[in-house]
Amino acid sequence: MTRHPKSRPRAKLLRSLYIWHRYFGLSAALFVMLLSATGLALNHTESLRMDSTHIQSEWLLDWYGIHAPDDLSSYAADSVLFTMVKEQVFRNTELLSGFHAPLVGAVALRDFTVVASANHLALLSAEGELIESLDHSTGIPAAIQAIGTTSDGVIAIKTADGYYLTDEDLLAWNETGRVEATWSTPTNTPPELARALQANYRGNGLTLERILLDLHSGRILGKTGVILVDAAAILFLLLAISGAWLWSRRRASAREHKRKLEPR
Amino acid sequence: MIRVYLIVLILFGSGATLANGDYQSPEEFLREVFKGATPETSVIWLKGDIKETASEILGHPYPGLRIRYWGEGSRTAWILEEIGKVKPITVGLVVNGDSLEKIRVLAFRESRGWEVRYPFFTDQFTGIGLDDDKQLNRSIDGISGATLSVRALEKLARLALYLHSQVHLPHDTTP
Repeated sequence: MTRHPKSRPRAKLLRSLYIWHRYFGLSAALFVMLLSATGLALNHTESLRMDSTHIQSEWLLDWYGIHAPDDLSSYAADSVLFTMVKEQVFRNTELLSGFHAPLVGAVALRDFTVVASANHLALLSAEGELIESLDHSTGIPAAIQAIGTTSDGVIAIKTADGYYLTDEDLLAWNETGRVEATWSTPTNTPPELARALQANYRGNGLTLERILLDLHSGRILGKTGVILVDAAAILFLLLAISGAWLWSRRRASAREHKRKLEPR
Repeated sequence: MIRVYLIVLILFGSGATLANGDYQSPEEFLREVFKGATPETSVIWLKGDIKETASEILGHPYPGLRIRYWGEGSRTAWILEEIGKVKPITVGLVVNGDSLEKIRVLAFRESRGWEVRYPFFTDQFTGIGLDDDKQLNRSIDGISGATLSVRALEKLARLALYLHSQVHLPHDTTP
């Protein structure tokens, strides 16, 4: 039997495509495994608590450039210290959740401690339990600059627009004229507390979910990683196209072969 | 083709702008509810059974030990917050007697589920009350893609109805 003269270059092309298809497949295998594993995990981040699992690896924290600030300052309210570490605020070493920097001051009354940020007041019990969180929606004036207590033991706040005094239950804030008060001022954070807060800040800065998202998108390697994942996506496309092409050629050739074998 | 593209762009664009925001301030809501004469602020302390029941309703402890409300006659108004998926939804609620008179989303901060602010959804809560198990005594039709926001509003409606039953109104005229 002699081959058709046209079938020789076609066979060569097919063989070359087979080889390329194999290379595409091998190159894509690593990416397929990586993307499948991270994609599967990302689909279940909440149930696997990946959004609340924090990475403690020093080199990964360094890689992400997560560094705690060197100089910290605190506001004292009785024997308790409130410290701002970047955007977070701590009551001694405990994070005040839902309370955001910049910290403006803290004052202690008989049963309450009031912590102030620029647009937010947190009313805490003597044990540090949150009683109420107050912001503009509860009548708190914006742009708080300082918090203090008057000689009568009334809490006063100083804002860009003026001075405000509160009632006994801290329910209403009434604008008033200039107030003489003992304003809360920052003090140096004791070194031991500063070290504990810096370690805490760094340890809470990176979640497992973030790492998986960045592995999935390639962003963990910066722009290079994104280009690599883009290349992988193109590779998957080429793999699908070359696979489909090879399958169709093979099917056509099998049909032709069968037809030739059939008795006329 | 260009026309289709523009329509899609406008639809998606408007969706994004409507997605979140402050729709009404709590002060405005209270002024509207009490026709300009907002009563003095009162508080209910979350202690003992009240604290426990509030936690059961929300599925987590309430972030605070006291909640503000405004009461007049048999009506109380509440400004409550609950997290939908990640961020809190601020909701204004009015309870009259044993049933909910009004529920309104005042601020929505998430990127999905903002449809819960529309009357086609919130109107379902009008007249709703609590059964003996402190569940809503009528079912609420959900919204596809807004499950968590719907759930948050249902919880807040139950919480407001329960808290209302725990406060002693000075001028309550209901028998």
